[in-house]
Amino acid sequence: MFKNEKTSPRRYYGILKGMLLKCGPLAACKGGNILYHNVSLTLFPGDLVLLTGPSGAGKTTLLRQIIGLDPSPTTKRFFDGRYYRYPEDMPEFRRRCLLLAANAPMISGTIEENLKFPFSFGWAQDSFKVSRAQSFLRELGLSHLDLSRPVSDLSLGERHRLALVRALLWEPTILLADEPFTGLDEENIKRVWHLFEQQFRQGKKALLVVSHQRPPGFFTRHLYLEGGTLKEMVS
Amino acid sequence: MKAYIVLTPFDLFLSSFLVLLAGFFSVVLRLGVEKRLLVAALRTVVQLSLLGLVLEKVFATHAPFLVIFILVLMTVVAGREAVSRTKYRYINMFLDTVFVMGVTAFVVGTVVTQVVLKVKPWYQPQYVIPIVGMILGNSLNGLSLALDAFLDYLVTRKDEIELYLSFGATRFEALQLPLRYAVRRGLIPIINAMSIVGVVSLPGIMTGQILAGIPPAHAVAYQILIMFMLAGAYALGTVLVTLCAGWKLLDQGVRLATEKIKT
Repeated sequence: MFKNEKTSPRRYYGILKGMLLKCGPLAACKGGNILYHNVSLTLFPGDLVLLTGPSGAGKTTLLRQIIGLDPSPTTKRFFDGRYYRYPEDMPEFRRRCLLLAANAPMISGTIEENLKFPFSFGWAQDSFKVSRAQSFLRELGLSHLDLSRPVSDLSLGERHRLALVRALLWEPTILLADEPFTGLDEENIKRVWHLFEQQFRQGKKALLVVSHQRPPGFFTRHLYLEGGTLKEMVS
Repeated sequence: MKAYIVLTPFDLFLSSFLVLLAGFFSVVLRLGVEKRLLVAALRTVVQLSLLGLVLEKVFATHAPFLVIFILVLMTVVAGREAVSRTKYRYINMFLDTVFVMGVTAFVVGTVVTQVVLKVKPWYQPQYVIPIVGMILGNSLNGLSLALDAFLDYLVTRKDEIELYLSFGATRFEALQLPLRYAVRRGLIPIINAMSIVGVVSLPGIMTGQILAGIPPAHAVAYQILIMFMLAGAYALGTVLVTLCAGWKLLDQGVRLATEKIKT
């Protein structure tokens, strides 16, 4: 058992060429019911993937397991030609493979503090640039907001867009976006998708979007989580 | 030395009406604490009576092991008490509180009794037991406040910590906000106490010493030593206990294990 765990990362190495992320096996249950079992997720460079499925199928849990916020001890993560160990390598993995949570969590403080705090962590490679933040805020229709305002003042829609700005500023290699269109009108959804395309449809990057609605533009693949398995939909 | 008034059992009986008054309020205002009040009052009488009986013997002892045994017993009781005071608890929290109590009492107690007071012999029970008792009783207070605040933060503001983690925060980076919050909460009582001492409040032991006929200046010197000692005990206890809890609840340093927290 132990031996296998140690050798398997190397064994898969060859197959993984060309893949940006391979993460699996993933399994989860809730209240005694199996949500999904033996699921694995693969993302390729330039992928814009839509993940759908009935509510309660475990889409959010799947994303949380990928970055290790929900327990999944046997899952292996191969990312950008490297094997990421759990738990030692998780901070680095999360820095590059960012989860955008559905409820747009904020730390108590100002808008600026909320955009800035990730850059204070040891794994951060870049530094916070106000001008970039402002340009993203402008593109998502938040330019009227003063950076020194407390986030508790924001409406739900504004909070969601602020969370998006924070994720885009961070420039992750992979973004796992859980319901990023919540509380956004059609116009804003288009802008968000446009920004997603700009940032992730190039080079060694990828995007996975969980959403109930179809994105308003081009996406490369459509995955469907239902009945405990992850299926590739052919459109 | 001045003679002091010796309390008779009848005097204590009279004073018990004051506790009954508190119970009366509890019944009339439906506070629902009359039972706990009664139990606490009874515990006060029984525990202190036993202490009185034991202390006289212990003070006369020349056996360091007996003193150490009593200190360990006090530490375990204090650790247990700290657990029962918090709203949330986690698996094996008792071990952490006892451990932290032990470390705090050992470090602060050693500094005060061995470095400052230089008691001879080192275990002289007349000094060691009351001082360690005071350290335990007070750090128990700060520790349970800090732990309560810390666990409450982890439960109610789980999203914030996971937000930190999802941006690649390490263990300490993810814990810095709840840690700061909890330690600050735990230190408030001692900061308040140091601020008003002597102006608004006359601390219990100083009152006791003065009543027993010790010159006020000497009592004051002891009181200052004690306040500093308690500040140290509060600080050490709150920091250590939140670190211990954080270490356990941030599973392997990367995942907030709220399923380990129970009410």
